[in-house]
Amino acid sequence: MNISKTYSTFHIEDFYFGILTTDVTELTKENEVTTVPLAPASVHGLINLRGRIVTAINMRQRLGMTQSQYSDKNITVFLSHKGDLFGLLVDGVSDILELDSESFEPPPSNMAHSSQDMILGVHKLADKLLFILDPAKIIDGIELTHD
Amino acid sequence: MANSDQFLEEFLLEAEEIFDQLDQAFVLLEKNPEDKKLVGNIFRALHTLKGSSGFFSFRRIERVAHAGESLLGKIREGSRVLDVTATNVLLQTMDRLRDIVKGVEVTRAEPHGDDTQLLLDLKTLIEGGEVAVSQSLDATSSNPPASEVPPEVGPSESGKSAQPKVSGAPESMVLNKQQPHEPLPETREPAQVEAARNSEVAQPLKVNVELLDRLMNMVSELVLARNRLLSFASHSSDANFSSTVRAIDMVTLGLQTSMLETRMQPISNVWSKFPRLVRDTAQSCGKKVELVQMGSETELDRTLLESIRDPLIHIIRNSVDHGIELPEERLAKGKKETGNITLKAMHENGMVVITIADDGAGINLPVVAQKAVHKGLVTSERLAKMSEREILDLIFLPGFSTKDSVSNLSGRGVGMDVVRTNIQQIGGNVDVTTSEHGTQLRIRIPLTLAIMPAVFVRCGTHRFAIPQNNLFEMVRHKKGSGSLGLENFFGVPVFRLRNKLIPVLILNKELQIQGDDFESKEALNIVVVQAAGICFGMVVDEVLFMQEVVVKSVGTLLKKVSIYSGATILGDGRVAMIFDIGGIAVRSGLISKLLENDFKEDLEENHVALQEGQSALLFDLVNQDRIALPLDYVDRLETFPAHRIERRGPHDVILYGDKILRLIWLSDYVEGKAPSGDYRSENVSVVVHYHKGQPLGFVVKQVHDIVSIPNEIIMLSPPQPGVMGSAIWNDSVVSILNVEDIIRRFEKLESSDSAVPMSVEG
Repeated sequence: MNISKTYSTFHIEDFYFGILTTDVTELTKENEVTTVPLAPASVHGLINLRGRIVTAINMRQRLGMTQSQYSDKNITVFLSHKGDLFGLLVDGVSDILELDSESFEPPPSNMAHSSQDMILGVHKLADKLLFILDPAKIIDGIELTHD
Repeated sequence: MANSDQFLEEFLLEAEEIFDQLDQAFVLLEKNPEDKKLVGNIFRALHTLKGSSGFFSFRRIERVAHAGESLLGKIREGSRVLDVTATNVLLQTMDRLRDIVKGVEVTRAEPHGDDTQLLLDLKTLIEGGEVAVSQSLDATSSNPPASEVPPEVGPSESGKSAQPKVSGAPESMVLNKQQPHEPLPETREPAQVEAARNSEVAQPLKVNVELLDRLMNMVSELVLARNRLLSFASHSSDANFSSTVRAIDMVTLGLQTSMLETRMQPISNVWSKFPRLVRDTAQSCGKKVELVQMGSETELDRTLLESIRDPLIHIIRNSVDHGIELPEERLAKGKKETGNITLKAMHENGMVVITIADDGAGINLPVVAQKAVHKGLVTSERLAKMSEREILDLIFLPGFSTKDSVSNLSGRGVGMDVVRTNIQQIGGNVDVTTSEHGTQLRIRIPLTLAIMPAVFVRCGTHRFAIPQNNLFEMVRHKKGSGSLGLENFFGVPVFRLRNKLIPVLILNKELQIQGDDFESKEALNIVVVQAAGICFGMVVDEVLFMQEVVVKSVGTLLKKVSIYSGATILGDGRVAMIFDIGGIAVRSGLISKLLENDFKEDLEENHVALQEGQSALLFDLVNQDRIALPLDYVDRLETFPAHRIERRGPHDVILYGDKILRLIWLSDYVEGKAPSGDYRSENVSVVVHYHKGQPLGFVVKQVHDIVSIPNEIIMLSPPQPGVMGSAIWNDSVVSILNVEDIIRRFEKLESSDSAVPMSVEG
């Protein structure tokens, strides 16, 4: 039986990611992020989203990619998790895709262990791979690096 | 299903409210047994409860409530008197109902239990018989066990052993009978009486707290949007636009204020349970205690209200249990038989101050001291150096408990550390004062945690808020010689603030951020803060401004970072972190470093060393060189307009409160100074000193500072009248005033009107 799901997709460097559209509350760009000293490495800082304080997650760091500074041009994918709002900092957003579970595969076993946890699986698209992320794992996996 | 769950929730809430009302009404009723209206209120409340329970088929509640209602019905129609027995049985009924409802809350079903005895008691009373109160009335768990109840407890509550009373004339209320001279309770607790009487009139609406929080967020956001709009309006020449913006501005302000009000609740919400608590505790200890509440309408944030509940219960219970003496002890001491506990709440400087005062025996300091040494909380050497205040403070130490010496010590120690910790957690503090006439605890807490004043500082490119509660002062410290321009104390940088050594943290280092270049600065900006029992300085790049901030949670991921207590949104829409000063102190290791090196002790020794001199007030007469007046002689500094000076006989005097302040023109008494006229300008500066209970005013030209001058005094030869000698201060010579000599001469002058002071002669 094939079930189709819709994904909000975005990219970070050359990688293409998707999150279930139902998990995403909104996408905005040019959010000002206030960095927080001594925060966990993956927490870039805080964003004021219309009066709500949102934890901004540095997705490059979280996914173990090379570090380059985020600029104001970055886009934030907001999602709600256990009552708190989080913002994933990404390089750019693309379409909303409705994908059939037929093209879905578990994550490749040769992926780095740390990021494997967060990736639910891969959709093989015509020209590229779409990595489907698990928001809960992204957030819950963040540990304090200091202290 | 979900529907009936919701109904059950509502039932539980309603029941809780009813119980609160009942507790309050019963205690009031005990004082005014004749108040039929109160009886009616209780009757109706029980009836409501019974009705609601019927809906859920809670048979036990129904039966018990029904029996209680019937008894009240008899009392209301006057066919039965409300005596102590009836009150106790009714209170038992309430407790039973409360227990059952509690069970319902946990299990979602009516718990099983045997109410036969209670129902039997109620039935007997309804039929006009007498019963023995068969169960302990303790609503509180920590009351002393029955065996400790002294024998003089009235027959009404002595409990299990009492046989059914045969007397037909029921005993009247204990409280009322023995103190007919007491003013009517109405005059003391009008708010309460009103509340109890009108309780069926105004039923406020229940609103989900989360909804309120969401509204609050939206209002904050509206405020920011309004700010942006205002800046547009200021550039606009369109009058219509401007007036619309003004209207929006006004509405937003109103909305914001009202929104904040929704968080505020009167402190009576917590206090309403206390009369019952006092009554029950007092009864079980065999004491007579009256609780007076003042300022119960004082409002504070509901979250804070919640967190002061337990500390207050604890303190009050301690007051009754240990503070107030037994009736005969009180009489022997010449106190009123009935002890008094006064609860008072008020606003003071943007804080709420709650005082709990009792007129009991007070805290026995030697016993406290002995106990602390015994428990190893303090060494006897250290103790010898401690002031009374510091000894009193020992009761707040964790591990200090006077539990095993309950009777001879008015031990507040039982868990007082928990009380202090709880209060400190919400940014408040507790102090205690005591004497043989009683003990007073004073709790200061912020009005709200949602909004608080904070000072913003800059570290590198970051802006941080420091809660004003933690803030002591801000100092610009000129760099000294040490490596950071600071002195070094066992590896901890310190600086001298007046006579104290203050440990310092370099905030940029602690936060691991790139800040301003430290070397190039001439002076350091040090914010002196206090938290976790220590006072320390934080070096910041810049002190920015002070602002009221709306505190927001930082979210789950940052909550674990102990140095922040929250975040706030600034006027420009950016986020700033709010420091948790205690967290910083702990995380930096400052506390452990200080403990390791016995910093506190040394600080005090150092303090003593610096203090080896004496504090003195430095002032000018007319000449250049300064004169110092030992601070012991200084009671107040005043400035008076010269026209208030009146002549009375040989003296210049000023009406000072209800006393006459006699002026001593110091220049007349100190050799070598110019005549007094030189500084009789429009205003005179006066140092007030009380001599034999009467104020004396030393008139000086100008007061400068309070300084520490060495004890070593260089004697002058030949001696100068009015001057004791000289001392070196700050590389210059100051003369030290001989106050005794001057007063002696002044009094001599007083006794012989004709005499003229020496210096004027010469």
